[in-house]
Amino acid sequence: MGQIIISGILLGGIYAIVSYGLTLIFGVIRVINFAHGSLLMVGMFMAYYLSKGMNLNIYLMMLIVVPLMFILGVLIQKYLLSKVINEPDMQLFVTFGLLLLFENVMLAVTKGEFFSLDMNMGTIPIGSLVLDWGRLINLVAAIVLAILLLLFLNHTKIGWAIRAVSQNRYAAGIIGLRVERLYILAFGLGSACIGIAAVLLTPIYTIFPHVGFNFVIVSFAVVILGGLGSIPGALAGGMIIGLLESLSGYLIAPELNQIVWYLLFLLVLFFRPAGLFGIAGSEEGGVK
Amino acid sequence: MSQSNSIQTANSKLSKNKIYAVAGLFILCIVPLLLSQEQYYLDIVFQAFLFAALASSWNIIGGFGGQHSFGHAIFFGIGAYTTAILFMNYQISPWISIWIGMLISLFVAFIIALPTFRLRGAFFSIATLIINQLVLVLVLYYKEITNGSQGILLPYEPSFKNMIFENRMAFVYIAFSFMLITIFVSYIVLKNKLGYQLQAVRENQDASRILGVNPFWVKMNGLFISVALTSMGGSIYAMYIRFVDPYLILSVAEIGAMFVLITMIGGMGTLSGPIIGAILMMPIDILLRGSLGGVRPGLNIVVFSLLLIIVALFFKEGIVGTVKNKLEQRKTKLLGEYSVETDKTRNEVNPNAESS
Amino acid sequence: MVILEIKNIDVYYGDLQVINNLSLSIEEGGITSIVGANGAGKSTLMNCILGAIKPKRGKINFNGQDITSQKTFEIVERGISLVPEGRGLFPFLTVEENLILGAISKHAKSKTRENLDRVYSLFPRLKERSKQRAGSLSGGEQQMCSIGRALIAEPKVILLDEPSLGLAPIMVKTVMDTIEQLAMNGYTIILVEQNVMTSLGISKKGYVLQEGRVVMEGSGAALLANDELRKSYLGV
Repeated sequence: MGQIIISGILLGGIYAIVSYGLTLIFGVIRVINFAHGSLLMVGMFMAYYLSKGMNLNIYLMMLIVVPLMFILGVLIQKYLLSKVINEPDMQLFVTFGLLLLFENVMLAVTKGEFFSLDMNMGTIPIGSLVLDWGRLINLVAAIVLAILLLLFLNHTKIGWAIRAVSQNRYAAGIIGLRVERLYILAFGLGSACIGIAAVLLTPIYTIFPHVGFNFVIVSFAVVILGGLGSIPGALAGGMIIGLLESLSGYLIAPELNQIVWYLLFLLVLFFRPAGLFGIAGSEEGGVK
Repeated sequence: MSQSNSIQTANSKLSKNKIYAVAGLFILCIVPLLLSQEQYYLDIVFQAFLFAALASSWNIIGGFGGQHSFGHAIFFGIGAYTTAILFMNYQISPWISIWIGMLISLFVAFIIALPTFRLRGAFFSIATLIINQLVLVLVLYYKEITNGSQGILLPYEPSFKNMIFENRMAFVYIAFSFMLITIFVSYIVLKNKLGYQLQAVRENQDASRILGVNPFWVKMNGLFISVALTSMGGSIYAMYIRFVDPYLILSVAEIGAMFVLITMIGGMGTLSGPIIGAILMMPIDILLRGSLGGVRPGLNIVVFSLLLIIVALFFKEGIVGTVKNKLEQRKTKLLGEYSVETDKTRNEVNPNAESS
Repeated sequence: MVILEIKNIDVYYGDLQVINNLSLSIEEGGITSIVGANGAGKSTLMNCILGAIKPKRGKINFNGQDITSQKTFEIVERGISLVPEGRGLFPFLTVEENLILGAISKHAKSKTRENLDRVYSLFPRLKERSKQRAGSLSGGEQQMCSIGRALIAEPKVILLDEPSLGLAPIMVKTVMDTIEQLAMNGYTIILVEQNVMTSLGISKKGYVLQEGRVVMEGSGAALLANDELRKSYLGV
């Protein structure tokens, strides 16, 4: 049982880190991004190929992958999504199109092969429990990144400005904030967060073009469960979903490991759309 | 004087549209006959008709009502599974089980809609997507009923009663008739109170209440009609390929989202949009899959996805809306203000599918 | 000296013309009122001065320089601030965060702390509530916060769009007193109000807008004494 909880927490760390990007993009600036998971997949392929090609440690790839993903996010917002900034429906279609595009370009490139880094970092035994190194590093990173993002959003002027833009775009404009740039910056940062997650996940997961799809659903669940735009909420939401998945796989049936959190997510969506940790009413802004 | 004139033009325009529609459908009707020797092309024609019908069905709640469900594969699946299971285990003819599937779909739609219709815009889409995944997990788990991930393979026993035919042509005309039914139903919905109410809810749900509309029930009625037709399509599809594969049938990307994308490209909220979208897109998709997909898997969908992005960014009203606007602009230039006025008196839906 | 000059502007929303060949010239200092019925184009005019909506024709000069085609942030930087209708606060940011975001221009940024203290001494209530979310303030406090946010940008001209809307009568009085106070401190105020009596009463000059045109102008007192205006706006 101890092992189940440990692996639940480690899984929670994965779900949390995967969701931070969507917390910024959907939670804070309310851009509906179905391409979230496929961006993660693109980041994972980048990390994989670069690490293989340069024969360097995977974690070093963060120095390259994160800036690249930032640029990719900037381009997407600047040239595509900024055209539909007032139209959530069209954002949904554009990002769904991007999802199909990224997945299938990668499918064409890889011809559907599966890739995994053959690096075995080993495990740490603690008493009778076993911890996987890759997942442990990821958990620590998830906590550190949460703290950094929280500091950024709540204690820097740019952080306030990004939140201000999402809460009242008109007012942000008339006090002289450069709304469009802030959107681009926020999408870029969200995308950079996806890049961080991608590097951390590359040693843990098998990589293939559709690897992102499950993460889209998890991420939307985490972001809404934790409260739109709340970083601590995303960390907590990730943990809740990770633990539920791990526990229900053990207690109910392995095939049904996701069913409990699916249901919890739907219940929260229906009865407390502000999320478990969000301020009531905060969900109303941006997305109706 | 000018008023009677404009009504006359409106009428003549309506009947002109009808003539175009009938002519178009007649051409579609004889196309399969020209291809009768080519099984590969008949497959394409079948899929085009079927997805035209399915996109039309989705359009009733998604386009007219503005509720962009990403979970319609659920009802497609219910139709397919009901027909397949009843056929395998109880030898019940698909002609009968098609109706049972519809009833189950209505029931499931009601259960799903009770909570999800409280949600708006993207939240509704996300919820329906998650429920779709939930249903997939359940279908895979209850192996005793569904045969789990193995799916259900149906035996080849051609007979009219079994809805299995030696000649693919029969299926092509079943799909064609199904398409006619969905067009007819959509037309009836659009010309009646429900159509106006759905559009009112789409344009502004809160304001629609002031007009005495109960948004919940309007959406529910739209959904009922939409899922009943979708379920019918699932039953037909199951008998056509005789293999119910849960990963395909309940796939958001390949089924549920397909209805949305075809409608989007064709023209959301219009009668002809989903039909034109499917008739254009399905053959392109399947032909590309055969050529490009053979070289590099996925390349066919790359084309499709680029088209989707372009439409969503630059031609938000889809093919039908864009062409209609262009024609109207030209006509306005020719006739002055006059024809614009008549156009507004028509009952055509505003293709601007903006959800509220 | 004329600080803000609007020359023959036309503004459209799509095909709908909301401002029609409108000209105003605002003298430095004091309060200028712009009154008119709903839909007369008052808010549009405010947004137009600030560059949030661009006029199709015409010119806007500020301090002798053409600002017609400048972006909002450039206009704010030059010294025009708007207190928008409905306050326009960021409800989930704290009062202090709302205020500091007002100091966006280069010259205001360096003096943020100093200006913040000035706003707090002007509105002590805001200091007490500085760590609260702006959305949790009362209507009057929100209006103060919005005015404070405009002040912190170090403007020369402050546009106020319906500052008394939705406030309790006692609060309306406080807000109007504050506006007079600001005018006395040397700010040029342009005040858009439904509350014609009060606003013209404190204005040195007034303009009456109707369907996007100026239909009357004069000193505040003269307009208040005008029979036609009294009939149509004051109902007496």
